[in-house]
Amino acid sequence: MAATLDDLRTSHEGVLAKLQQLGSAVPPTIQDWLGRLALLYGVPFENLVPDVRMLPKESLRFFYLDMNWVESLVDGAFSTGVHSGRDIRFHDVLQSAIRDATRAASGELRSNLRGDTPPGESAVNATRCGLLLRSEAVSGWPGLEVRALVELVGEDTVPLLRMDRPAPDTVLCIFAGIPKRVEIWEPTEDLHFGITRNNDGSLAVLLRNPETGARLDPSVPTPLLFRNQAKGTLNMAALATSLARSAPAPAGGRAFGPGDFGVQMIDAADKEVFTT
Amino acid sequence: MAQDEITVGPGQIQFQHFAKPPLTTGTYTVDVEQQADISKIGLNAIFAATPKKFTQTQTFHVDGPHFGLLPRDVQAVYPPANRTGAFGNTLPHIVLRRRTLPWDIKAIDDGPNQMPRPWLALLLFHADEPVTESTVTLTQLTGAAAGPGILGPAITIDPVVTPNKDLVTLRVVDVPLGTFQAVAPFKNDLEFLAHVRQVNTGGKELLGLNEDGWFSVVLANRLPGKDLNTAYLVSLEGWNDRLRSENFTPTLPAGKTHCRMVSLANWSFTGTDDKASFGQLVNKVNVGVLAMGGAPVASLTGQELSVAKSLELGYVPLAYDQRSGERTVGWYHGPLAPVNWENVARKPFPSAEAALIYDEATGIFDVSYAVAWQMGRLLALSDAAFSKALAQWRQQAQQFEDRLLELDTLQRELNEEALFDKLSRIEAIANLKEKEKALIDFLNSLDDPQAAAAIGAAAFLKAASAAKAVPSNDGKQRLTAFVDTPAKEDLQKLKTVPLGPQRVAELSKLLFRNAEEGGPA
Repeated sequence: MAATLDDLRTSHEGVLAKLQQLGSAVPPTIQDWLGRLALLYGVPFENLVPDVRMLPKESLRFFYLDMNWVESLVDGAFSTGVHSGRDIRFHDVLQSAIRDATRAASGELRSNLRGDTPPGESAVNATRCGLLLRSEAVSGWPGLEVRALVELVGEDTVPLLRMDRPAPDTVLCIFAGIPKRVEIWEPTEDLHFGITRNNDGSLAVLLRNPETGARLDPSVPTPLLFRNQAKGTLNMAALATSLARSAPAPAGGRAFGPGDFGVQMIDAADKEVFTT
Repeated sequence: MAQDEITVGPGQIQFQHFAKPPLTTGTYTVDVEQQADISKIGLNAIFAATPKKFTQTQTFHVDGPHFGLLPRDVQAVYPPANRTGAFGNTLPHIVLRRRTLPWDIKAIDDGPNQMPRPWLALLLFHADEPVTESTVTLTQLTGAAAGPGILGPAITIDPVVTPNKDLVTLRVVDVPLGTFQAVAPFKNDLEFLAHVRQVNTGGKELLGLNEDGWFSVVLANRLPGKDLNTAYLVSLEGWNDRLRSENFTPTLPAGKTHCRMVSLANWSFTGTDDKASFGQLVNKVNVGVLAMGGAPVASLTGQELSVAKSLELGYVPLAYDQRSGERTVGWYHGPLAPVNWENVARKPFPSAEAALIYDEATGIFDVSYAVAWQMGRLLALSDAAFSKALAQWRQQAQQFEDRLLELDTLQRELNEEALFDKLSRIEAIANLKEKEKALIDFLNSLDDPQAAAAIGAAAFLKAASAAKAVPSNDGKQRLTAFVDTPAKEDLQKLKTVPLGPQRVAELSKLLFRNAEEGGPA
């Protein structure tokens, strides 16, 4: 059979269509691999950020994912084991199928790993963009969370396709869609008892409404009281007295007690909002 | 008690000062006294008139988790065990599943504000404060058996509750005396170091908990330090007289170097540098796009302007060794671009060179996609599993392609050759009856779908009828004549007609029908 795909293309559209159907059945191994490749897993960091000056310390950088680059990457991957023109044509014919499979696999990779519902088709085909955050906040708060939101106001999120740390102080996120607002959260699982550091480095407790738990606005810091500042031991009794004096009085004339103290000492997860 | 009814709404959490158990641990005596005065019921004529007293005494013990907690008693700890992070601005805490647990045992005298003080304390030790943890028997907990220099808790073990102290083992932590005095909370701190929470998460994680119910929380009185921190939930039973309070510093027995405390839970975590809070750090980051330069300065012209424009687009200049051996400069940009490059539809690049972009204006190559291509190739080559899967897929697809081609050609050949074969055989039969029989047999053989498919039944029938319509030796001409396939039902019906001129006529009619009606050409 000396016929090639080119012959087929001209004479037998039906056969070609069948062959293209084969592309929709890209083997799962290949599809998964392509999905990871399209999210740039395995690509060295110096290829992503070729000059360190693009991402200095304590910086946040937004970017679009250049799909031409990604497709070139895929082309390169498919160039392996090519022995003949027929192998090349194989890639030519299946290109669109491979492209679709790559997009779909990369769109669902994270949700599959996490067992979440995969993002819809519109998200899979959306313009991909993302951010790089290089900061001590990344190394210090390993559970840091990034939320990308569709609108300036509202809670609709842009699906997150990849989030990981190419370096201990750097976090890389790729989204399916262009967010108008990005929130960077202190790890929420770390909602805890905590203290706020004032700009002058001193420590304080930010007061809360004793009934609702909401932070007072404007914030009212009450200095932290130590038994032994070098050792970091707190004077809980004096702190409680001080908080009782500065915080709004609990409703119904109730005395300030350990429960109230707990409310005041809660340090909710911090979040910083960036708009694009 | 965590299963008690929740009285807060979904997504809410309520704090309470404490939850005292109906009885704290200890030995209790119930005295029952009944006085019977029979004079009231008019029986004093029969019984003695003096009232009679009946008494009964019952002793019972309320036991508690003095020397150990069950794993299920602990719901969560913070900072998470073995986690590394900037925890310097947080107070470690432990969440317990029983709301009365911190108040189950009465170990410390209450303060003036009527708040009961918990018997549990969370002690935090920094990296430079080594403490030793060990497992001992209850006998070795305190007194001389604990060893020289060890100060155990001042407790007496009730022999009724614990008959053999050697059979009870427990975890203890030996804290150097100086560390203990520096780190242990004051007595009047204690009531603020524990509280109760009622949680209705409404399915959302709240304060690190995703379970509804009542919990008690014990806080540490100390901020974590750098490097390794170890937290111990210890029992304060027997330490009442050894804890400091505002205007009282206890004198500890002479000759003691370590305090031996019952450890009920412990975990450790690592603190990193925490010069600033999360918010401050993130707030001060420099925000921008991923490029070396911003918009070009207005004064730039010519080459300088073109360079500045490239930098703005996320390009960086890289040394580029051309194949010809020349060393030049190439522009490179990564996949993370400051601009949204239009996704250009194109055929796959067969090689890295094919992906090079040459800028005629500057004579400089854009190597971005060539680098990407090369990177994809390297990644594929370095992954044996992928290379194998790709080779297999390609092979499968090509085998599939081959089969399709083969089948296609075969079908074409069969359609033509087999058809001519049969037709010529039929035509060669002079006898009309035999001719018809051959045709009928052939049609019958088409009941077998595989056989039909093999020779292209439809095509044959078309051709067969066309052959009658256009009696010619030119096969091609016959094939182009188009006549619809007779319906199978019609053919079946035809079989019921006895062999003979009538059937031949019927068959001819059937085959000729469409041709006569002038079917599509």
